[in-house]
Amino acid sequence: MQELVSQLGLDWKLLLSQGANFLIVVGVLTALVYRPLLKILKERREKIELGVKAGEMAEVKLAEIETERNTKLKEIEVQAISIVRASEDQAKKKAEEILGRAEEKSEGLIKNAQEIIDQKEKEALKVLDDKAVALVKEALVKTVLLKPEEIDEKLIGQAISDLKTS
Amino acid sequence: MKANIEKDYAKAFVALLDMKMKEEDVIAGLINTVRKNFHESKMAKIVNEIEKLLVKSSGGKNIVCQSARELSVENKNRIKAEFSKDDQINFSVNKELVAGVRFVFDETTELDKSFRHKLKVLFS
Repeated sequence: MQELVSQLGLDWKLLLSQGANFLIVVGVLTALVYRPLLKILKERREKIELGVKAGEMAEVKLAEIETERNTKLKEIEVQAISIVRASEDQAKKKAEEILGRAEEKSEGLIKNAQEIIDQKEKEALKVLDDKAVALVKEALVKTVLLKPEEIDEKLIGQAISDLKTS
Repeated sequence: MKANIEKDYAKAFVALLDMKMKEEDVIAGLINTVRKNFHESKMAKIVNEIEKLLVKSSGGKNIVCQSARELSVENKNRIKAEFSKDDQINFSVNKELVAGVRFVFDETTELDKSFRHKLKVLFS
């Protein structure tokens, strides 16, 4: 063994010192580089995981919000439809009411107009009647005045007979 | 209320006559009073009122007989014959009657036998 080592040119002391150096370098690198790097990597991974989780959560939340929004929109739509229907009904009622009132008013106006027409007609007839009566009276008076003595005698005779009976 | 001076004079005159005063004195007193009060223009009406009251007090009626034309004597007599002697009949002309006669008794009741009345009844 000793021969083999000497034949290969190995120096135990040098080997040991190089080994010790190597260990020292490994120790220093582990302490100063490897561990901080691992720590940084771990933190980075954790941050990424957290980001991913937050993203997932945000997506879920977004989906929830979207669902809620859709539900709300549907509710609003239903409400809007009911409001529109109610307003339509109300407008219809109002229109019917206005039409009814207008109809009543027009009927009243027509009735009034008819009454005025009737009144005017009556007045015109009365005027005509009065004129006709006046004309007939005048004609009768003129006829009587043509020969008044006979009428006088007759009426005086009637008066005397009335006086006798009273 | 509207004062009727003529009626007041007439009432006073008849009341004095009822008190058995002399007719001449009462007439003289009336004329004096009328003159004193400057009521000479009302004398005709006063006399008319006195006549009415005297007829009434004697139990007669004051009758106004209106006709469209002056009545003939014959007709006037026919009419007078229907009333008593105590009644006072005054004949007057009212052309508005057209024909016939109208009687007014004591200014309260009437008997209208005029053509105007007939027309009124016919067209009422």
